[in-house]
Amino acid sequence: MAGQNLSHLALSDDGFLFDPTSGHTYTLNSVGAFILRKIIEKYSFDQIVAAVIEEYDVSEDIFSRDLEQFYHFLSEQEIVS
Amino acid sequence: MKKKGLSIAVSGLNANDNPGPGVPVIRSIRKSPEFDGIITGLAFDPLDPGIYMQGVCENVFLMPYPTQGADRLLERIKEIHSKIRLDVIIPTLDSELDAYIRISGELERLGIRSFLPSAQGLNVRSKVYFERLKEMGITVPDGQSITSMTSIYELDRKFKFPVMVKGQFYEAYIAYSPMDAEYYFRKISAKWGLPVVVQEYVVGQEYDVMALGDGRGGLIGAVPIKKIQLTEKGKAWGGITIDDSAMNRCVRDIIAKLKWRGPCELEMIKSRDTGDYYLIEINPRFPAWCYLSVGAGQNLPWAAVKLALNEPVKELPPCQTGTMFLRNSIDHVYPISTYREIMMAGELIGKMTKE
Repeated sequence: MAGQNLSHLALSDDGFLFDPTSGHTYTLNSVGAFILRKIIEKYSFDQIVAAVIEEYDVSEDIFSRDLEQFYHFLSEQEIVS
Repeated sequence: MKKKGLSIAVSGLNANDNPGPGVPVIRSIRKSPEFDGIITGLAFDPLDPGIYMQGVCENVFLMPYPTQGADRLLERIKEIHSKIRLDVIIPTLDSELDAYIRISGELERLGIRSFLPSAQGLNVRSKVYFERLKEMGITVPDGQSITSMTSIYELDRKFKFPVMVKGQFYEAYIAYSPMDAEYYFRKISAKWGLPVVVQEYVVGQEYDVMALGDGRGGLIGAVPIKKIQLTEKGKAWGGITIDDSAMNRCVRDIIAKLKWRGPCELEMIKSRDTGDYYLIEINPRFPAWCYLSVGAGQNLPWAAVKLALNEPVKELPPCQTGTMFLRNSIDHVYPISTYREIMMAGELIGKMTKE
């Protein structure tokens, strides 16, 4: 997933996501949008964890599990491969 | 440059919950800055809403139903042509295409142009022969035409249930068992005749593409969408343009292999299991959502008019991704005199009300 080109995804500031390949739309909360933006910017898993725990009040262990689940969701939706 | 005084006739003015493409084709043509002329609507029913809508048709004529044959159609067009000179006709309904193709030579001699699929093209995309597209290297589901009930109970030799059961012209159902298939076979054959077509059920995401082929293998334009709202009959009530390079290649390949001439709507499924694109159906005319092509930057109905006039048309730039359409349902109020006139005279000449 890391390094994948996701620049085609249209993610707006308010968390509205349009995948122009599939035509699907999603709404992300502010944390989800923050993470996806980092993925689009080609951050690695560890870099995203570091960025999130710096920005939000969450432990590394808990957030790492949440991030794995989020990756799984994105993969299920074919937003990332 | 504007086309001065062009006279275009367009059929398919029904605009109910399963609308014909006539009104959106007309709206698209009127949106072209190159168009300057009049549009004549060809309607089957005095209650087709396109007859009454403001800013759609300058003139309207009632037409014979396709079951009355090509000769009757030609006779009626000659009658109309004697009253209103016609330069181009765009038929928009599947059921009338065969007759228009038959009389296209005669229309050409009258100076009336069209840009239609060839008779061979129309035949090769029919559901009965659809599986043969595999021989041309086009990915389509396995299929079989059946003419008797006994064949249904032999389907499991070739297919895994569920399967699609389709009428040769309209209607399709998912059958989860041979009993289901038998039920739908009876229902469809009673309405649309034989054969009934059984098709492999491909699980995946459905997409629709409106395309215009130049008849020599070239693609003038294509607008792919994901339907985002459906009616109970499964018709698009809302959609959004997408950009999938694999599907775009697939569409270009289909148009090239078929040397498709004119407009079409390609129904595709992206298989959930393999990610391959399957061509499910080709409808040989513009879809009812073709006005979206104007919003997405590819006015395909106007391009079809230019092709009919034998003008060179280059491939259009890619359509704009993320352009949406949503239909709505709204009541309009009309005087009964318009209804009386179209009912009694079968024509309305020069009666368009301005928008």
